[in-house]
Amino acid sequence: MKGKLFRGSISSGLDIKLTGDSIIEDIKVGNFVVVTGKKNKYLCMVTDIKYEAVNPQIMISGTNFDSEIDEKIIEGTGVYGVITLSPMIQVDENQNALTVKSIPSYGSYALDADKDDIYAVFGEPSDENFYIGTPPEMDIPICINLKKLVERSTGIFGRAGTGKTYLTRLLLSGLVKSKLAVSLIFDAHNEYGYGAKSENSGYVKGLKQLFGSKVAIFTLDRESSLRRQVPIDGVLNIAYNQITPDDILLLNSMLNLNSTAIESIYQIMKKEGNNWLYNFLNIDASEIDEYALEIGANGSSLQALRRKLERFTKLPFLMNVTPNDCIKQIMDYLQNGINVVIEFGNVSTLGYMLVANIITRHIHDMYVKKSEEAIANNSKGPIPLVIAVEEAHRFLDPSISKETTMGEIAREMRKYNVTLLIVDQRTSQIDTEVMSQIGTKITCRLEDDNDISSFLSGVNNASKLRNVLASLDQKQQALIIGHAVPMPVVIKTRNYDQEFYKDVSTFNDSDFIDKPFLELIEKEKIDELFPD
Amino acid sequence: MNHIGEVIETSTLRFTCQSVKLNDGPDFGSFVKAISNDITIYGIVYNVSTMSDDQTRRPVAFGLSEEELKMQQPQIFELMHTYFDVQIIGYKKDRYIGLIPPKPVKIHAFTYQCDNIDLKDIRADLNFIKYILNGKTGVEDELIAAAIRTLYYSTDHEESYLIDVGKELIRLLKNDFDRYVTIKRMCNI
Repeated sequence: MKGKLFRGSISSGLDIKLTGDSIIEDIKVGNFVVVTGKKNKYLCMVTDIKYEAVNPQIMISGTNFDSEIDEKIIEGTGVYGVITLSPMIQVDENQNALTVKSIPSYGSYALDADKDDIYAVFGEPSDENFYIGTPPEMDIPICINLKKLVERSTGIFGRAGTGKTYLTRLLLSGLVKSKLAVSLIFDAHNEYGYGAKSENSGYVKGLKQLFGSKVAIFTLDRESSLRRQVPIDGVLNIAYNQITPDDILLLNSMLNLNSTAIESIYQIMKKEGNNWLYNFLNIDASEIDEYALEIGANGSSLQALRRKLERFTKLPFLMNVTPNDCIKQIMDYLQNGINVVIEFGNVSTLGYMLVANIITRHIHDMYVKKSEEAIANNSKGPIPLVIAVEEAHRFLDPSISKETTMGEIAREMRKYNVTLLIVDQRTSQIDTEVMSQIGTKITCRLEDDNDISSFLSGVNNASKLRNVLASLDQKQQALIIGHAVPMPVVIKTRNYDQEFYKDVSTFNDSDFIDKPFLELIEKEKIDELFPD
Repeated sequence: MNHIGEVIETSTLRFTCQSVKLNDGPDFGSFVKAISNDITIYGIVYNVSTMSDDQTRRPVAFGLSEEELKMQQPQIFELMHTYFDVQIIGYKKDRYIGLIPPKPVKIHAFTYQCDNIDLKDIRADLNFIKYILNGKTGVEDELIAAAIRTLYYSTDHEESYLIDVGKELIRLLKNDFDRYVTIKRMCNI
């Protein structure tokens, strides 16, 4: 692409008239263009493409011709292509990338950005700069700054089947490799820990296969994990006495409890103590009325409550007595910098939410404590923690986000080094207060107007980015805006393939892909025990 | 090279020649040149006329064929002359320049038909379009179409040339696109 600046303003962007033999069809919304002014270079994103004519009559009458020569004559003279650019970054004479506060001189040349331009803004791939994709039409790595990424919460959005999971897997791999943060992944669909099926190419590797002992997998559904031959590090069991009435309240949207029922729960708790849920569920149905009298509650409402809470008995991971305290084990792993994936197997949504709530509550308490200790000792705080959560709207829905620990983490845990990695299909289902706290927003294609609006709320130049967002491909393309990138950027997501595995994996053997995984783990263990 | 005419009236923008042959002047829209001192001045023929030397004496229709006329009234052919008017479009001094020459053509300078080398020079400089369009010759549109046809056929019918000329025309006629369309049709290429 080649063109010259002929009109522009800070507010409406720069208009470039295409010159030479640039073909308008080659230019795509979201492409990078560099405008070289007299003093600065401006890295811009194409936000709009249109025709203009020196005289409107030409535009109408010009279509009456149908010979190729006529088209060539009119194109570029009478009617010409105009691309609107949104300047994102300006690079001054000393190669400093600054926010845009000026516009290039009239007549400045606009050309497609090259490798140097992209590197000057996004940086070259390194431990901190994670190569996440390329511009759609170019083959130049675009990096996302992981250190900045973990400073704030991150959101990954997109319609079903647009590549959210891929992107999340990429980002998590980058995080594990960089060791800048430790991740706790709530793997609702068993996609991150160990191998998973991909939509087209069959089988993709999970984090455990790429990073070995740096990743621990816990499962809530041992049977399911065994069937998939996942080398699990532990089975996560939750004891009834670890469930508090607050945990139940957060599941209200699923349990449909009324206010009387909630009061009753507190009454039961008062009588039974920590083990209230187990004891209550084990009361014989015929004795409920008697029990109600005893604690001063309404008999029939207690019956109803019991019927509803009976759903918990179907959760395979709930036990009266657990063999070991898995939650503490997970906390220990996290503190030692080992990433934890919690597989949910075939556990129901109710189980997913219950466990996620309980674990996040523990994390919240632990990180607050650690951070406070760090302040007292004037030492470095705990290693940053990223909690990856799928179907995030279940925790961050406007009606409950004020009460869930997730909501609290999203809003105010940044200072305690805990951030969220929210993965969801619909941005509009997430509390606006939480959305506004998300530092880096990544989205694949969105189609619903509400989702697009809520994604772009609070974003500079939102109306222009709307065009860009609408033009994203159905697959493998994403728009990244926010804290971890210096400017909004459209990327073609990097492939999650052998090449990627080699790039990030700790197993350096060229044939690691084919080696049985367990053998590798074995070898690793031996190496640890008997170092050279 | 034989001359085809002699300048009998001259000014900065145009000149008039008397044709060597009666009834056989250059074509409308053809390019001619006149050598005047050290410069060669180029122009395009926009009007050809044949009339009596003496403006007060009007020819009379005899009702005879040309052969009969030559036999019976030979003096007619001596008293009549063909004239042609030329709009100046450029000049050559060392090299071709598509501008009005600093001095008009000398009176009585000889006029020649442009050869292919001359046409190549004229083609290369699109200024002729503007001179013809603004020439106030009364036949600007027809003249520009004729000029484009002449220049186009003088070489291997290069499409790129037509595109260049077309773009220049649109630039000049952007506020009168219909006129462009008419000229385009007159070129009929």
